[in-house]
Amino acid sequence: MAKKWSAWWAAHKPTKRRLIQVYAALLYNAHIKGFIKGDIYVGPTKNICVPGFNCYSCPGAIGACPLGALQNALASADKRAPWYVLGILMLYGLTLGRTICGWICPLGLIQELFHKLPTPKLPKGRVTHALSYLKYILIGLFVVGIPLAYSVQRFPVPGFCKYICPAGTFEGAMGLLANPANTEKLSILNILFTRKFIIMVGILTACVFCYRAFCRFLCPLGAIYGLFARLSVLGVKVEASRCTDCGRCVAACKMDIRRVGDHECIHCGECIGVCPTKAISMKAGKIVLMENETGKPDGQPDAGRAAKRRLRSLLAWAVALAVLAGVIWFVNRDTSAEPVAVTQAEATPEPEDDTPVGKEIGMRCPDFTVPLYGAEGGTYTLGEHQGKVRVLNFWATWCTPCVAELPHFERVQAEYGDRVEILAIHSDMITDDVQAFIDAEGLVLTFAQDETGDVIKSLGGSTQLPMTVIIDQQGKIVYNRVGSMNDETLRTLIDPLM
Amino acid sequence: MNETGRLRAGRVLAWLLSAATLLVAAQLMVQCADIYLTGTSPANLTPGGVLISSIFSRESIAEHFSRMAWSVWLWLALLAAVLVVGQPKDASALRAPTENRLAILRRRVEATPEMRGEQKKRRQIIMICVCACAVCAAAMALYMVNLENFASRDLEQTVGRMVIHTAPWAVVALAVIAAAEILCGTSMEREIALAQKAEKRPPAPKKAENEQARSLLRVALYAAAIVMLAAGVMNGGMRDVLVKAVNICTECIGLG
Repeated sequence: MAKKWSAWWAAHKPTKRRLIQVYAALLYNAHIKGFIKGDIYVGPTKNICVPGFNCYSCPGAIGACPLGALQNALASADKRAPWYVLGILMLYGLTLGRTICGWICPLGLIQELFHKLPTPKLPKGRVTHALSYLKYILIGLFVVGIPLAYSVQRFPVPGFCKYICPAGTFEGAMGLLANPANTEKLSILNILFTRKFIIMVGILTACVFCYRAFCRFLCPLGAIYGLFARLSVLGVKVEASRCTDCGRCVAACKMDIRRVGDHECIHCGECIGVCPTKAISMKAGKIVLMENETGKPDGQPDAGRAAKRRLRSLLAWAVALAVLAGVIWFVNRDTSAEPVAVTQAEATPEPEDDTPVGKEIGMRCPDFTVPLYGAEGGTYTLGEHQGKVRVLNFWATWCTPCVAELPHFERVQAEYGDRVEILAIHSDMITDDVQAFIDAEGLVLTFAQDETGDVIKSLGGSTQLPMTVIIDQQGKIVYNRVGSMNDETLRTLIDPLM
Repeated sequence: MNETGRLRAGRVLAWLLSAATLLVAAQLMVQCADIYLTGTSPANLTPGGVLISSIFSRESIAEHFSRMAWSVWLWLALLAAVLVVGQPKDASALRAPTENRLAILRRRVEATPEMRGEQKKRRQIIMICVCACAVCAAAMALYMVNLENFASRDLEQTVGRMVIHTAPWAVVALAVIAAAEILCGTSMEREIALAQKAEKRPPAPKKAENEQARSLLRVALYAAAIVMLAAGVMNGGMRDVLVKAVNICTECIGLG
């Protein structure tokens, strides 16, 4: 029985590559608190892009997604050149190349796990090799084309993230929506989520039958890293002097390679063991990391080397686990600021009203004062504008749905005139000249800035835009939600208050 | 059950599991679409087109996905059966790809006029493929650079039109590439047959790769990457990454 179990374990134990893939997935998503609370990490490590595919809207994500960052950088190309993201991609490509895909991409891990389901598999062939060029078309249209086309309009659209990316649906949407704290966000799901969910199911199903279907046919990030195939420092290399072109490595590989180390190779190292002349090894520059060791005699010198190698491996794992533990501690430590002070209305004395002040429907809206945009400047104090319906819209220039809905608010303001006051409050996170943006758009609304972020926090928001709050003439909140608005919906909410 | 019977049963169960996987996937897609269609039906809209109740809710999701519970149980049962019965290991020998067999032969035989003819044919096929792909790429690029196609901020319409206009060119390009691959493969098989009859010669040495040039290029690109990173930090690019990453991208997760 014990022999049977140890034989089973020997056949099924996770490989080193699998362990490293799991480690990377845990490291990229170390913000465990996010899964519990249903919110994302907002710390400084998000300045840095992780090498692999990992949606930054995943509750656990501690770094930015390189592909999302690239699209956003291209969408802002009219304001500044995307040097930072291009530099990061080049650095990762030159150092690791598509070793990232094979070893440290969480989406690659998910695809391989789905592929382990015991169904018949679609073999690779000339047609699948042709289909692998689809990812370059997707880069041209969705990753580069759409963001650049809209950047001249100052309208940021991350095309691939918005319409195709399964990581956003799987890690971001389902990761956030699965948490009961985000139940109300279900109400803002629409055609976008429906389509992306169907695409995600389609891709994951394809992965069951076709090895790494997303990597091979759709992944723009793999395509970008593949451009560095011949230059990357780390990867599987073939020693030309020993290679006999027998092709066993290509035949054994499940990716659509023509030769080991080309732009389709993910450097998984599965070919190392099949090469009859041991010409293939994984190297970092000149240092050999993995090679075919079968057939080496168990002599004294090799036994000593094997023991040293085991010790080095153990030390490396100990350091890696210590790093992971440190990162988990760092991103999950309690950094909550003082609770936001809720100020009472001072300007206009209210009739006696014991309604509590807060962010929920039916409560009195907390008072605030915010600086105004515009040539006249000045400030806006909520408490000074009683007796009118007030609509607060929290937005930002870098938020596509926010920019898309501003004309709807403008139309409603024009329609209702003085009976309704709409205040568009920009986030404290500023990446553009907001005044220049307002002037260029020609918007006629009252614009203000939430300088410290306290106003949106006092109303229960923080990391999600756009957010709209509607306050009745008595100062009570009648609507407070995240999500896009249009003029029809606004009229439906405002008319009963008139 | 003897070994042959067990293997046969394993194969049948694996095919059944494939069918069940496709069934579960299709049901997931259909139920999600049904939730959307039910939520946007006239019964749930005011005369002004505003939703009466939200399209997605925990109740509607639970109700719709409970309809497919039977298929999930079936899938799980088949999966358990396949794991218990086991599957035959793939014992087929690794067959060298056509390219590699040809490469080995070409180093060991004198090229005949017929072999050169096949190589010329393949070059022509590749040239035609490249030209066709360039035409398709140009057609797609022409659409993308025409900013009038992106004048509207109604992204559903704009991106839908973009897909309608570019998808045919993409399909043509991929079809041409696939056809070129198949034709080249056939040509290589013909050349292999010719090479097997050709006169043998001592194997030609392989060309050594220029490692020095590669190292120089790598160093230059590293330097460029570091300069770009520094420039990006200075021009605010790094802050842009942070700002987007610390706010939930509602469109990326389908909420926008």
